[in-house]
Amino acid sequence: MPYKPNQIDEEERSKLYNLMWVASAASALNLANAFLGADNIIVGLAWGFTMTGLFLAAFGSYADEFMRGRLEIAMRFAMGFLVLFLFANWIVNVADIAHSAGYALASEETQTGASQFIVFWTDAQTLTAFTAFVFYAGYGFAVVRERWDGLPFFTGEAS
Amino acid sequence: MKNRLKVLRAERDWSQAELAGRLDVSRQAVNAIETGKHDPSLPLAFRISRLFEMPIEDIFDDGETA
Repeated sequence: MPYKPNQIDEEERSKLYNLMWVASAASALNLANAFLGADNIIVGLAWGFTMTGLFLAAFGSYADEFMRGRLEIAMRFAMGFLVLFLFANWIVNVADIAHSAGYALASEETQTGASQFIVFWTDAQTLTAFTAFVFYAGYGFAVVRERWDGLPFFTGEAS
Repeated sequence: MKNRLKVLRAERDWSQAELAGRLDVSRQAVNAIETGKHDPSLPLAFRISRLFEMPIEDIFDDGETA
């Protein structure tokens, strides 16, 4: 086998699987924090760990094909969530609801009247936390499907 | 897809981690292949074939008769 410098070994490759569970927990913490609004070192660390799985999916060519199969399902979940979000935005914009939302957010007078939902809807950090959480939910789904492949709901062939 | 990976590994007294190291994959990947949860890609199937010095069809069985 040819020598490949900086290639990770089996032990490091296996650790990636454990890291994904830590990252999943961190993404759940991030999502909860979108409602709680805490600002401390734990939240900072959670953002870092949340990033790892997404980084692995985007740039982790060193992950083996079994891991990449799971990550592919996770990415499908995340993309599906973003499609739903964009679709909802499209509906809102087509229906001109966004005009009143924009007015509510821009006007100081009506700022206090802006619903919490609109603030929530337009917050990039919240959207990121949601997308990351759905990504890890997809990863969890892939694992569950491997375990229970053959049951009526899990008839798809594992990637 | 059925395969003889577990038997071949046991014959050589290798652990899943050892086999994974030789194939440049994780222990989890070897376990998934052995239990039929994951079908290896063609490059990985060739690596397995070369490692055990056997034709691919002697290791993997897709259930189709020739």
